[in-house]
Amino acid sequence: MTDPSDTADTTGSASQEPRPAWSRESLVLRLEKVETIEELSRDWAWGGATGEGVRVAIVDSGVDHTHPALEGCVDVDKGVVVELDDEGQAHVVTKEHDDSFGHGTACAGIIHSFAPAARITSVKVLGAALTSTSDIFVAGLRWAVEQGYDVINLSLGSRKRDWALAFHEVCDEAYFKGSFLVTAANNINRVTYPSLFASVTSVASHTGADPWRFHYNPDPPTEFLARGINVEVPWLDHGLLTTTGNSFAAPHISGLAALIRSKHRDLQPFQLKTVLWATANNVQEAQQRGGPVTNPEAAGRFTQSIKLTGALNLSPRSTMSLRSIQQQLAADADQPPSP
Amino acid sequence: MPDPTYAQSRPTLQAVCHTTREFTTASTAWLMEADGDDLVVVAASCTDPAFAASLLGRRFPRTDGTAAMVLQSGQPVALQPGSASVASDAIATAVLGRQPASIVCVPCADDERVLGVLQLVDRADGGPFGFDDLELLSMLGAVAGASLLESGGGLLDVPPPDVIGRELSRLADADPNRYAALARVIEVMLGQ
Repeated sequence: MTDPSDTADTTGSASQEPRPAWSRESLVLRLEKVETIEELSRDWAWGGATGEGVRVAIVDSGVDHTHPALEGCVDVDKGVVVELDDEGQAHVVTKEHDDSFGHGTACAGIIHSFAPAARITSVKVLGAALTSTSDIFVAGLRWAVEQGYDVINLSLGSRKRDWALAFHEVCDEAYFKGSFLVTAANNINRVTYPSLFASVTSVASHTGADPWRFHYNPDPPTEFLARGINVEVPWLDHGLLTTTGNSFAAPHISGLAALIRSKHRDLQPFQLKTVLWATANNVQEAQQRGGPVTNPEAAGRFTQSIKLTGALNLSPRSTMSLRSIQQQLAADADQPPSP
Repeated sequence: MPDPTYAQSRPTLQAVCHTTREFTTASTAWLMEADGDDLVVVAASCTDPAFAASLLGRRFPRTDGTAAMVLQSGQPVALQPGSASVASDAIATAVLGRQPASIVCVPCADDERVLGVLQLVDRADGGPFGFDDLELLSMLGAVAGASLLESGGGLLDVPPPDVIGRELSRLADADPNRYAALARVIEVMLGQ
């Protein structure tokens, strides 16, 4: 926490102009107190939190705000649709809308199940009337960043390299403005934007069934694994569906991020990511065991280890695929739900 | 009415449908290529070969159902109805003449674009498609994407001129050097 007597220019401006990096007198950046890694427990992170005061944007196919499972958590009047004008330019229009596919409602339901008091806003970029080109994705994402949402869930991506720079800029803007941007990773080893940027938190599925269980993945760009298999979610027509895909893993991390943010308002994205790392099941379990992430039997095959002495041990560099890591972590996974 | 242009079987795409259907024990698999405002069935596999053949060339709006969601989002997905129906998946319902019990749908893409989607329905055991299904289908969807590209599928999905113009304008603003290089390539191609 910064000294309250020194508030000048520490938060950055809302200007669209690039901001310079500059050196400052270190004395004015003195911190009052910081938690040590050992203090970053799940109870510290989100114990007693409900998501109160946190705003979450879901950039997706819309959200059915009338779905009973959402319990009125959607700010209908704030919802927007990205539309193309006659000249093909993307515009963000504030208006009530539905969910074209059920995908956005599913993400909202997962986030709400973690952070019931968080307010959700739908940013519709997918749908029957939308061509959903990359400029629509970027426009929707940029709007959410400009509005300063605490957490932004983006369970979709673009493969177009021409848009990489645009995605990169808006994701960096999110990072510097303090919006925690969570994206779904690709299921196979293919480039998608913005899931491979360091300024976002990219999430894939693990094979466990506990919604509160999530893993740190030491082989980025996918940094966390969360539940994404056979997840019961709200869908169209006020119904429920069982779904599988990384799209549904990402909102698990978004929901946790909303909880953490409601309890620790000052956390910047990199700090929030660190809290997630410290509270990930495999990291917590490694700490308890004082050993590698996986069980000893698997250690020969799973050569990556994490030791919570403050250092990340990545020697030798694993050549295992994300899939292999998922399977290996799943071997440790099935424990009772543990909020 | 099926489009006769697509009545001819395409071996690689057909093999992808067969392989994925057998691996997952799905009742039916079909692969659709994006073609303008439509998705058109270009390969299909089913225990009844005549039924599979009858699907070739069938067209559906590219804004319908799970396939549209996957086409737009680029994210594979497996769905199994709970208390809700999947009646919103108009394509699957139209193909089968009933609602499927389970659906899995993955993108068929090259490095840049989603050119089509591979969709399977109804596992033999009545259960949902799992992570293994999704992963295998995603990989074979990439193979199908390459095949669609080789057969000119990408050309069918070329954006309209106004969209190309908009993208060029944006590129000129964002990356003038790259725009200049692209403009030079176009000039050479046009023989100017």
